[in-house]
Amino acid sequence: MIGSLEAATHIAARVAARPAALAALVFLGALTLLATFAGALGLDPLEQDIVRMLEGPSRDYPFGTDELGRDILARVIFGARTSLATAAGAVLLAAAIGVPIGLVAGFFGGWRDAVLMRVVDLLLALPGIMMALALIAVLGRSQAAALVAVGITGVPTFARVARAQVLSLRRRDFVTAVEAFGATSSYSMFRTILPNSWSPILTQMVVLSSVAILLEAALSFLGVGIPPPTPSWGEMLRTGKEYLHDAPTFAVLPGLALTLTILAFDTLGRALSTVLEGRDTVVPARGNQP
Amino acid sequence: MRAVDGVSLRVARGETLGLVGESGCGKTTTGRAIMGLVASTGGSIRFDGQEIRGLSRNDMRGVRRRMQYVFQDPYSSLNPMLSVGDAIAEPLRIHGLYDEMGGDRWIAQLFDMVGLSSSVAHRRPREFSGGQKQRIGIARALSLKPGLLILDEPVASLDVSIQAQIVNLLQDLQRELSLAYLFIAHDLSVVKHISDRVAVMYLGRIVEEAGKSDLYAAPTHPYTQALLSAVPVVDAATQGRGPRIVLQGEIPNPSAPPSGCHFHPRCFRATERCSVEAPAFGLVAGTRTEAACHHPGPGP
Repeated sequence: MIGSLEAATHIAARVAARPAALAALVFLGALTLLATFAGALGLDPLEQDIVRMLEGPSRDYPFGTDELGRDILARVIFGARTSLATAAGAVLLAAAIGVPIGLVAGFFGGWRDAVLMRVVDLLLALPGIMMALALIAVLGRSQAAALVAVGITGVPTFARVARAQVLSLRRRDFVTAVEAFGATSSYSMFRTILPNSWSPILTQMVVLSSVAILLEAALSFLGVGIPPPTPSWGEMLRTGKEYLHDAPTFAVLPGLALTLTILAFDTLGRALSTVLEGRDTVVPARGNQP
Repeated sequence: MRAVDGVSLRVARGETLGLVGESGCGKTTTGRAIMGLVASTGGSIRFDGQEIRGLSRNDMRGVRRRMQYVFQDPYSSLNPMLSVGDAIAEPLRIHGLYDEMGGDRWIAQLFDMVGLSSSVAHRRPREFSGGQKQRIGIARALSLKPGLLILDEPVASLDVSIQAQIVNLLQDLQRELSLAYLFIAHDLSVVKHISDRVAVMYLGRIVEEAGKSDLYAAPTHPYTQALLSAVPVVDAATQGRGPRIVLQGEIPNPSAPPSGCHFHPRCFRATERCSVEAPAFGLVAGTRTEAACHHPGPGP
């Protein structure tokens, strides 16, 4: 365990050495802290100040109020909690379903591979938002339904990454070795191949977080995501667009939060993949410079 | 494709059988077929008198406890995510025998047996040299107290000085634990050093098998003679050796082997008969050597 902690610290240091990734890391860290301790800030996302609805920035409400006189800043901060929690849950769900599918398909090959990967291809062929809408139509509108809907759309990515890993590790001697000891297939898959596949899977989790946040916001924007009054960025954008003339600042903060969060996850994911593949230590050839 | 055909081998307790041949001749496939790592389509594999071919998964697990495999490449045969202590303990844990076999004390003893300190148990494989990794691979293979070790070119990827250390270690372990070895190699001098008997393989078939001294002193099969003539010696004249036999042509494609005797297109003794009829494997008259050749006999 000491070894893996060292390795993790080493990787974190190399990611943080990249300025854009460091900025993304700081932003996401701050956002997570805000979301976690939102309750302790004395902000209430639900309290209505009807007299002061659709106000611009003021001392009481730094980013103004919405159509029910609620504090936009408070709602964006609590909305971060909704967005991050839904995205994290969805990504974990996608990995929990997709990774075993990919492992089994790649490990056994043959008909299992054919059947599983055709199902995955089918999922991949449907646009994510369409499938999510269909799932919500079946499951009803709730935060759990949004989480499941977003999660299912991420399954193919993890299945494909895991399958590719199995195919590259399957014939390595240390995998043959555990077979020679008499290990079961599930031991080979989950105890030997999976731990050696963590780096591309982790990268996908970070990259897919940005997709999940965007998809969750899109569902809320379409009015089928997380039901009100729970604050959500997509829902705020949807309402904000109705009042673009009366309160132009309404949609600014939720839109900004959404954009920056997606950008941060994407930047971090790219940096992580660069570092884990060892490309950060390679000096690019001069000819490749822009 | 028939990578291996008509191979018959016997290894007795405490004995080393060397299996030699050019790369691609099916040595590794033979070793892996014995372990059940590649499926065999026919023949018989017996261990301690028990037929193990076609055993159920569960019964095979029991057999695998008693025969183990040491890989050629110590760099890729250890899981990079496991500490070497966990790597050595892994076979025990897979069989649920960790505590029964003595737990940490047995692991420490295994480190000791292969000449490593158990204080390095928590380190990762990448922190070790090739020779040390191969020692770890050997300790791992010994953890279940097997009777047979299949050693697949265990020293081929090591420096010459390290090779000798590993070969000596293997010999010491064999003496202490009365292990049977199937030693797969292409290096004839290493095989000569460690083996009791030697089998020579060409294109998926055993062409000659004999006790070590018989095989090296009086090879009867033309292929064996050619192989031995290629072993470099310090002074050929004083070591009493004939001229170098240079074989013509390349090894044929194993998926479309030549008719009759597989070796006949390259053989310096081949006749009409060799291209038609595959020679049977049997005792060569007047010797203790078994060979598959229509025209066995001393040198060219």
